[in-house]
Amino acid sequence: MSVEPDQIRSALGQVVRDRARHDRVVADPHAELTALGLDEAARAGMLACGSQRLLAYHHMVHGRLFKTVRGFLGGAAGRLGDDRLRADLDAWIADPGPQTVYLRDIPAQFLSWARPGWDADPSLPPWLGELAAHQVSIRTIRNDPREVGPQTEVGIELERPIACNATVELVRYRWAVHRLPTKLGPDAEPEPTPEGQAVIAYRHADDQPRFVDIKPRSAHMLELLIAGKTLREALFGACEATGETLDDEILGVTAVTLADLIDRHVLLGGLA
Amino acid sequence: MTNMRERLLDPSTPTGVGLGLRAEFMADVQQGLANDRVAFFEVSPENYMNRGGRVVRMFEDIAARHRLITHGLMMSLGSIEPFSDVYFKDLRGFLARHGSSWHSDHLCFSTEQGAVLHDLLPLPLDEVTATRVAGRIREAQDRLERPLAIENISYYLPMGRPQMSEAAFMTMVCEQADCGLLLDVNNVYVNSKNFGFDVREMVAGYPLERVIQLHVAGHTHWDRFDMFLDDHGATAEPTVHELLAWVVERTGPVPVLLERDKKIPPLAELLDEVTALQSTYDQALIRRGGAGHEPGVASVG
Ligand SMILES: [Fe+2]
Repeated sequence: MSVEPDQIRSALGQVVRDRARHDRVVADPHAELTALGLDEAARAGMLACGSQRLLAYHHMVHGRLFKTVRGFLGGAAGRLGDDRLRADLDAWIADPGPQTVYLRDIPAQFLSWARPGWDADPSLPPWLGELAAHQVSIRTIRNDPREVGPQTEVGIELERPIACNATVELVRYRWAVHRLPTKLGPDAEPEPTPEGQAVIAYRHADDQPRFVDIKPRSAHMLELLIAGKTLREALFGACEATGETLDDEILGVTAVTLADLIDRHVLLGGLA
Repeated sequence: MTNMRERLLDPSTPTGVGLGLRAEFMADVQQGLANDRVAFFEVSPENYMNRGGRVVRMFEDIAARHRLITHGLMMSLGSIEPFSDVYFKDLRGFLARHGSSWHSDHLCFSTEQGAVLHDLLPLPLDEVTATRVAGRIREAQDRLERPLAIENISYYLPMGRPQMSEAAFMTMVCEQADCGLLLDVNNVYVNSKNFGFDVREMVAGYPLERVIQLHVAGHTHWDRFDMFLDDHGATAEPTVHELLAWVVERTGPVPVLLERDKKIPPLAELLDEVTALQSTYDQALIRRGGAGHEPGVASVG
């Protein structure tokens, strides 16, 4: 009885995924293919052109994913170093591996798997995972399927919600990783984020991702506006969160902030 | 014998040489630099599905002004895992807006135990696999409510001891699935170089009556593994022109696609290659017409 064709297919798939299997093929191809359940005829066929051809598939797959992830991670990949990134990526491809048909979504999937390990690793800068997440988010925002609407040209009212750019997210970084230069020098270090401050991450109408610092009270207000609250609810809720009492000065500052957010295409105006 | 071209190619189907749309030159295409230079653009839905922003807006703009043929990357027809409902739902939506009378993907597998490996991995060439994959293709056609054309891939590794040639395998799959064939003549050529068979004989063994589209491209040598790699990283070789002409003489007008994915030159250079391929294609059609419609001439005495 010869092996099932699917065992041959699966053997290739496993050598492609698993770095340890790759290494065992290098050491003894027949032994590894036997371990994968292949009989002598199947092994002879598969190795007829040399084990190099089998290994080439492993390198094609890992090489493409490595290039994609490294490109998306930008300066964070540079700081991590190719060897560490490759080792982590190899481990991820073996288990659980990419779960998306969209190549552009792979870096985010990999990062959500790798980041806990990086954050807990004292040999790496504590902000490295956050920088990697920020770098990936630049692409995610650029490709966000949600549409950036036009300004509503409707005035805003205290008793009504405000239309928000659908791509807006409020991010709370522990370090100002969004202020690091794209070309990260070896000594570059981000500043810690001031208490309560947040970053508005969104895609502008000009298609470019933007990152805007926002102070604590305004951050709370924006969060509530994104959740669909009226301006009054958002304003009172924000003051409650910061322990302030709404007064004329806060109202004045808020008016300026709202105008600024509309100007930046974070808010789009009153709901039509 | 079923001629797929009669079933799937209609007056709205672009024939002649088109170009695979790539991010590197989308802006130039949007600006009209390819107008009247290509018969169509081939697009991979995965590049635009579930996505927004500038690239998708450029794509929509191009789609409004050029004829499109869709060609998928990630259906993984050779896998054993069930199809992804979400993928098929999204793909159906995309094809409803931008699809032609068929959609295509590859005769290969891309997933292993749930992991999506983003490559075109070869299948064992045997009857059991052909029957299994044909069933998957029929299921995919039902899910898409649209006929599929299957593309032959380039591969570098014999998958066990093959029971049949790649052409015989494709014939069996296409007949059992009753689907079209997207014949990539460069892929057969790369395989012939890596495995040492006669490329013309192999191309002739493919079910030409099912060909509804052709792919042409160039390839390079991967020194590290000492093999020819189908990376679409060079211009199509003269042999690819010859194979294109040989097939077109037998099929008549079909869409022919130039693929370029590595070392992508400026659009003007790619368009020059499209023109050169179009000339090969036109000459093949003239020869075909000549062979088919020669007036009866005889001499007596
Ligand atoms: Fe192709």
